[in-house]
Amino acid sequence: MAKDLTILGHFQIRQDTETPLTALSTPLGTLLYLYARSGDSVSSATIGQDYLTFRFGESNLVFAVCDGVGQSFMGNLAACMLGDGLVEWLWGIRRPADAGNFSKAVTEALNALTSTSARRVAEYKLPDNLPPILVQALELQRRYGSESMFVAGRLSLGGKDPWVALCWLGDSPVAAIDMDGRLVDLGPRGHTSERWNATTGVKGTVHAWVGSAEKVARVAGYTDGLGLTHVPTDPDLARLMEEWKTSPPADDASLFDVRLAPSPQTRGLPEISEADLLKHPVFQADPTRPIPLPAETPATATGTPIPAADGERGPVAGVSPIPPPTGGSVVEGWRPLSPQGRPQAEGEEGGLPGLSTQQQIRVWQQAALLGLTSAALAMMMLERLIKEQESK
Amino acid sequence: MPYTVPATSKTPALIIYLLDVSGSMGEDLGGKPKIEVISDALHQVAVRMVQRSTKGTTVAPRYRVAMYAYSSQVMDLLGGIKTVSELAQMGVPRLQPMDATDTAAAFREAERLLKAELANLQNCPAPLICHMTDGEYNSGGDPEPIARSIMQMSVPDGNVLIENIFVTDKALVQPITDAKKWEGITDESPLASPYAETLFRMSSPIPATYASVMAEMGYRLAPGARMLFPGNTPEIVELGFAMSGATPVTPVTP
Repeated sequence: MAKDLTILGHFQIRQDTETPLTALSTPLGTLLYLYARSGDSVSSATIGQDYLTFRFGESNLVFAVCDGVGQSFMGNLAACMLGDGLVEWLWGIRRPADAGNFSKAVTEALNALTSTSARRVAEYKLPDNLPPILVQALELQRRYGSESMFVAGRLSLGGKDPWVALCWLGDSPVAAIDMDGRLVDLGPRGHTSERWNATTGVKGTVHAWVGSAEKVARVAGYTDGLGLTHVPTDPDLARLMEEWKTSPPADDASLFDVRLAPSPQTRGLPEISEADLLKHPVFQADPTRPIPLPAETPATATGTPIPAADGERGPVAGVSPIPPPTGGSVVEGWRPLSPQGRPQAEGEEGGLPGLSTQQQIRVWQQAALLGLTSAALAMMMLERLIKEQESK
Repeated sequence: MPYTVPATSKTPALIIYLLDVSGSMGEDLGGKPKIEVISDALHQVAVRMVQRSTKGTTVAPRYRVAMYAYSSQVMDLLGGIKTVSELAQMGVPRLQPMDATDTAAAFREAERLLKAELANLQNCPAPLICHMTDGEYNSGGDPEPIARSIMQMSVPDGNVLIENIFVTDKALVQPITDAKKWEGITDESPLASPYAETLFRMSSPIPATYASVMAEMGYRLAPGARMLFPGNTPEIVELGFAMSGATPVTPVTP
């Protein structure tokens, strides 16, 4: 197996408990994730219908955020099978030629998944002690099938041509934000009628986007339980965490959010001017503000999945909730993308393009003062910049 | 837009059933006593409500249900309002025919209940009364004025809704042949009896959101048609009870 497909972490977030907003530092950048069950699920001590899973290596990342359909048969079951199936499949793909090919490949993969998932739905054993009316209702649902919506993606940041491929079915939001803090035009948001049925396969059209990762600073996918009409800012996430301590969300909520580059806009800080804020309430195409992306010229764009060898999985098979990061910010640190789109290792030549050393010093000082970055990172950068200035 | 508030655990829908259990309900309907057809249909709507409220094996209390049977007097079948979760545990009562038909008394009971509840329903879907009868009242007087008074009661989501299931073969000039294709009654011209006309006036127009939910179940009812379901087939009874559980449970997209 190629080095960059070695699995360093594989997370399957538990559906039976809350996972507070958690930051995880990886070679690709900072990953944020959370999982919160609805008030109904918490009060009745049952599992949530959302499912969140992701996997990463040195330069590759895949994720799936699945929103099980409540009124289908055991929506949590479909969400789980779908999420695991997507992550496994996405980890093995080569760069798709374009969005159309990617959509087609995802559809085929998800339809193929029903060869195992349909049987699991049919064989799912209901608890013995349920009231007869509930059993009848559930058997009616079983006939209909187990369904889930999803947002998922693969980020491949190694090599000369880093790429991102995103796909979604249903109305769960997905967003990509570029280095300038602007939303990348991913195309129209999905609709609630689009679902994956574990027995019959894809209902509706899988939406997809494929593009260069060089300008992408943040990718976020989440379920509508977050109750937001815009891309969540860090203050939004902090507020939700605080609110949910006493009042769980009305619907199950889960989020996966990868921060690849330092950009105040990607955090949606309130200090940023209105013009720079993420203003799109929903992620729909905006022809008046296209984000130029490099032409797609992949050398090996076949869209053919490369199955990962089973014997070479990483050491992490599951995960227990990680305590939230200490300190005021929900993001502990940032790992900036280099100009080549490759994650930049600490100790490498850093710097903010287009700014003088003096200006960079001011930026880092201000960032530390405002709590936009960790003090340790700011100190390190300041030391480096001061040395650089002194040596000039 | 009225009638768009979804039934959720925090904003449950209140459904009040008024069920005629007079002696005539012992007569035959499609090979079974009417009262059994009604009991079966009630069971089906309870299953449907549970189905629409279920996440995994949890029944979210999206609906609150009161159930009154009436003949010469009104009987509270559930012992007050129950959530759909409680109803799932309790099951649905099987009914038996009694004696006279005091329809007005049943509507007065519903009005009393609504007056007590309305202040707590300001963020909830508009309540719905589902009245099922097989014939005209023979005691207690005309129920129409009380029904009209109830239809003037409102919450921000809309006025209280009343639907009538009229189990008879004498209500329509042309009987309904296919409940799934029937578009409903929009005026009094297809009605064949004065009491059917009374019930027409006592029936609310079908909100667009309810028509949409019914369409998902395979029915073709037109928005604006009255919530009046006349017929003497089990399919019409089933259609009528299905309507009583058609409050939207997800946010409505205009």
